[in-house]
Amino acid sequence: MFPVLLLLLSTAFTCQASSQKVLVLLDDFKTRSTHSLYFNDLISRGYEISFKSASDKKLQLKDWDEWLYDKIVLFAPTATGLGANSDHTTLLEFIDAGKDVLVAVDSSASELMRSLAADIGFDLDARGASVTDHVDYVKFAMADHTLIASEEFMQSSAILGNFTDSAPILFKGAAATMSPESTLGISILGAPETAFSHLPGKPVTDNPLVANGYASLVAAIQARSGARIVLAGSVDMFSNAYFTTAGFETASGKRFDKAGNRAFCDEVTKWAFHERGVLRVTNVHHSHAGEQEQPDWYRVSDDLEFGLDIFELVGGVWQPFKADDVQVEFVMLDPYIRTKLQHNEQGHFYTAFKVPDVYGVYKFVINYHRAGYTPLELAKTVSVRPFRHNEFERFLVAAYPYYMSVFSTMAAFFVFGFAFLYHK
Amino acid sequence: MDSVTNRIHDFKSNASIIVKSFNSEYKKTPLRIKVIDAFIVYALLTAAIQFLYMLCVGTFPFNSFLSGFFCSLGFFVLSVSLRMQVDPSSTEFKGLLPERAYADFVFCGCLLFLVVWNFMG
Amino acid sequence: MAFSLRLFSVVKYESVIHEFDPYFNFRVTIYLTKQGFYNLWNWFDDRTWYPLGRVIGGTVYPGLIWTAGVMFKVLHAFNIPINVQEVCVFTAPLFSAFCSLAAYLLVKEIRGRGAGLTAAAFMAMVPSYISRSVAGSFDNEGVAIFALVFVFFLYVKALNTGSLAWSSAAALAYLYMVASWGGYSFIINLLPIHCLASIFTGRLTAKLYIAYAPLIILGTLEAASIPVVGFNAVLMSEHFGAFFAFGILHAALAIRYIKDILPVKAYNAAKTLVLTSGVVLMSGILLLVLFYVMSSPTFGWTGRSLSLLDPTYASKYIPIIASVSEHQPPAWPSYFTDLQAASILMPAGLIALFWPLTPASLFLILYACTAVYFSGVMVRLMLVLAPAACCLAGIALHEAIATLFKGVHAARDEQESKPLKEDVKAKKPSKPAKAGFWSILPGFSETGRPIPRDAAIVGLLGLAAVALFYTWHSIWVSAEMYSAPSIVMQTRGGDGSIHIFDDFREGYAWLRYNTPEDAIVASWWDYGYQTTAMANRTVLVDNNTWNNTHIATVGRAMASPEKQAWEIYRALDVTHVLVIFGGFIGYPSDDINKFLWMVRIGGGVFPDIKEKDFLGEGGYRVDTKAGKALLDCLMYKLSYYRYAEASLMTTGQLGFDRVRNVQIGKMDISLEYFEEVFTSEHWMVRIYKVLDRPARDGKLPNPRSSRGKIRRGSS
Repeated sequence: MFPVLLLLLSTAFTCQASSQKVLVLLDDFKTRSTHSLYFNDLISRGYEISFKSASDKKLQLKDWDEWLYDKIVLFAPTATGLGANSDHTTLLEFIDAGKDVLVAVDSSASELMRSLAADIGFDLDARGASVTDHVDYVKFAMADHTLIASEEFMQSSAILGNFTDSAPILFKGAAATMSPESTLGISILGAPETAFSHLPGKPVTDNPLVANGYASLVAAIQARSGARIVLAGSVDMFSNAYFTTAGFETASGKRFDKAGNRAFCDEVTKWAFHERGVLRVTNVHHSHAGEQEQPDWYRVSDDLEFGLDIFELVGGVWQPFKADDVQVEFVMLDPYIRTKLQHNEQGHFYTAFKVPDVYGVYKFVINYHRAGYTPLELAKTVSVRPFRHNEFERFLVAAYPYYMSVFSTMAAFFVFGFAFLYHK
Repeated sequence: MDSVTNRIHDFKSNASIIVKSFNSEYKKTPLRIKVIDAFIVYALLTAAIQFLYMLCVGTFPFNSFLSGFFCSLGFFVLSVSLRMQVDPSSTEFKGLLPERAYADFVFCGCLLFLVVWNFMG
Repeated sequence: MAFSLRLFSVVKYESVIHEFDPYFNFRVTIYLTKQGFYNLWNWFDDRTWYPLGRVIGGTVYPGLIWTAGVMFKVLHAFNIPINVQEVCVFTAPLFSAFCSLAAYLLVKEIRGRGAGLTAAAFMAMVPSYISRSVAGSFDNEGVAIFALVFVFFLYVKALNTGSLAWSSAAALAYLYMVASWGGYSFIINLLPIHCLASIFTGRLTAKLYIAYAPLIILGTLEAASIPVVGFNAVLMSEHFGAFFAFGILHAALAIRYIKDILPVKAYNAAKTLVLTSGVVLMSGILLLVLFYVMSSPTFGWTGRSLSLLDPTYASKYIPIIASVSEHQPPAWPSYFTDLQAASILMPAGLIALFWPLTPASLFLILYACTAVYFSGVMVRLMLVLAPAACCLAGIALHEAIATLFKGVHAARDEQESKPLKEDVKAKKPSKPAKAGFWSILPGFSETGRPIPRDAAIVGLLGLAAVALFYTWHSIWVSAEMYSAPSIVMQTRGGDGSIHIFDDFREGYAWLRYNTPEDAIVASWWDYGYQTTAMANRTVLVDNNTWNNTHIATVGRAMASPEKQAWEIYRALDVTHVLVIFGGFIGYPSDDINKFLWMVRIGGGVFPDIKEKDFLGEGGYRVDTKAGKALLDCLMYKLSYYRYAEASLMTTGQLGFDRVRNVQIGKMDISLEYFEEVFTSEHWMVRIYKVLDRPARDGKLPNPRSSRGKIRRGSS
């Protein structure tokens, strides 16, 4: 019985993993062939892809309360509406429901795309403006220097996996800026130092939207609903043409054998579609030192143990997470204790500490935010109560004279009674 | 200088007169009262010793100190009350039997020790 | 009588518990009956004062709770199945009956039986005491006033008999008093005053010693064993008066003893000696004590006591004490409504007590004088005054009646030439009233002649009228004013119909059944006890205002703009916010009217909140001329959210506030971080949910892009 159940479970799991439905929304079905390499990569990783036109009036994301797709790839920079809707609220709902979206635009991005970007905390530069680099452009036939090659990708194995390819990424499109107040945004690919964003062919009259350092070519957020959204400023970077570029030269004279686009785009998509950088916490546990049972409360100055298991999804399998920087805080208004968790290489993280000498309702707080990883935010409440009246130390040595005096006085009381009553 | 020594001399003689006359007068008090007085002095002494001890050691087991100190003080107060009640020279308590007074005293004493015990630990 | 008078509230409303504090006491009592005594002592409550928690056993005056618990247990031991709530509701009326008895005993001890009876009659009906002891008002004061009067009775008894037994009984009653109410410090200060007054007026007796000294020693020890008082019984300055008088008493006794025992000459010599050495010794001890107090951690007086001595202290330094209406000086009319005839008769009784001036009557005089002063400082202490006023009024009334009857009988005697037989009879119940206080009026005292019969009868009728009027007034007061539980509201409509507003219970019930078990509710502290007791949800602050900073944090949140408030609440894990809004039906004590206190208390700890930002033109107002900070703050938004349309239906005017009688200053209120989840029938209780952080940081201001837009616009 049991193995059968397990088998069922595992097949259910693999089925679910393999048959993720991806909706690809396009402006133009030509893209399907110009980007076929990318889509084939997706299919080879087990996704079930359906192509739709963004302006298809019959487009439906949701059937009553049930989402029809698990992921959306939005390669429709000029779309003015999604299906019958003229705005992107359904798409936001999709995100808020925790589902992933990959959006690619270009310098002709429509108002719809701009407001979508704004709603996830990014600001696309004005319509028509594209990233230009007069110093280090890629030498192709184009005269306006808008095809650039960037190596400013983020150093994060959580997002890019083992993308160590030193080949730069070809890019042609719009840049986005991230608000300094945004707490969720990450910039996966920045622009080279000499690049800036401007309307091509127009004279630059004042400071353009400076690209490097501020602008992102590929940006992403992890929404608090769990959804991951990637905003790429270029549809072209996913295209077969860029994937297969054999070799090119930049204006500064550097030569490269190939472009890194294919590996980069695949890795970014893996991250965006929750194939990588996913953490899972189980078995959060606290107890008195040396015990197993989890109590509802502790007494001040008790010794306690705290532990939890963290696993990481690697290639579809949960494996122990290894990191030395996971912290736990013991918080009542302010953190009273903040300590690093040790781990045993098996995914079990643990620590032991002494409860502070202040009573109150405390929380064990784990706040683990690392770029690319699922943020771990969990809090567990436990009360810490003061000593009971009979838990204080009794019969102190320092107090013996007082005890003596009380006894002597009581003795005197009895002696006095005799003396008083029998002495007439 | 002279006046100071004079003063001190005066003081001494006065004091000796006082002590002497006090002694002579005190001999007239009945023995029973004297017994009570002895206990009063005893209680005062223990209270004073505890206070000194507290000054030396510090106030840490403060509840123990309080109970010990107040125990002595309470015993002192009760004894003084009893003394006043049974003192034959006093006119206030004419109708009061010494036994009745003593019963009251015992009752108060028990109460006192009860409270002290409760508080000491 | 005393009991039944207080049952109006049960009849009019139902058997519910009133006000705020009683809800807490009720909750603790339930805990006691379920968990037992020791668990109560060690109860650490994590449902209040989130996340600090509160050690209930160590911070509560347990007298009332013990009483109710014991009553409950006893009744159950007799197999009378009664609900804890019923016990709690009826505790106060029962104890007010006991209190009348105690008043009778006290006055009997001072003045004799007749005066005792009239005093008890006054006591039974005095409105200010009724206010605290109507059925359902399950509050400390209900039993504490009884304990107070009873301690005084036992003390006076000990003073009169000079018996150690009575003195220790007084100490036991004092224990009960300490366990019941923080007002015990009144006793511990009044007794030394009386003791000193007796010594300096030459009334030093052994009886005084026997009554006073054991009470102080035993009482202090007992007080120290109540957890909430603890070492404060010795360390706080409020108690030093007692020890000081204790020392003086001993010195005085020693001097007297020496004086008695020594011959005159030696005594004179000893006097100089004792005086000089005594002064040196006393000053030494005083210095020592002072030094000790300075170094002890609890130096100084508590805020409440200081505000007693200096009425302006609280308003200057501690807004949280001043914010409680009970802690404010009373208005003159309240003396009349609360004491009525007793307030008129009181001075007369006071004068009557001077003839003859026994130590016992001296005590009552001192009691009355200090009580008058204290009640002048704090409305709440009107309660302490009430028994004094009643005793005095009782004595006065009794004296008056006795004298007048004497007049009536004397006149009859003159006519019928009968000897003083009946006169004697009339005088009999009033033994000490030899020369009633009327005699101080020159007309009567010189002649010593009784009052003419007609005048006497008129006077009697007048007194009867006064008494009747008093009774009628008391009944009216108890029925109309003090029976309202303030949790169920009642108003009369224009056509005389009665409307009942039960919004509070509606709101709390909603909380109880519609929020998760571990929800944390933020509200102003007034509603903390009720929320924990009725809704069974964790609160941030409650009526036990022990942590000023925490309350200030809540005040600050209410006074902040929505986003900041939301951040504060998130930091405190708050899930729901409860506000009380009276603008819909005209309930004046709502959160908008309390709001200035939130600002003051919040501003006392967080200086970024300034009261003047919240004041509009010409003071505090909510209309368009209101302070800008007020229009932006969370409290304003939560109170008036969606109100504009609602009031259009009822008042025919957009956003018309029926409490402030103005049109509100801001109509279109939208909430971004809070979601309205419940509004009660009459809009009194409004509950909002604190929203989670949004899934995305949408629409953030981006300085660079705005600059860019300007650039493109210009080019």
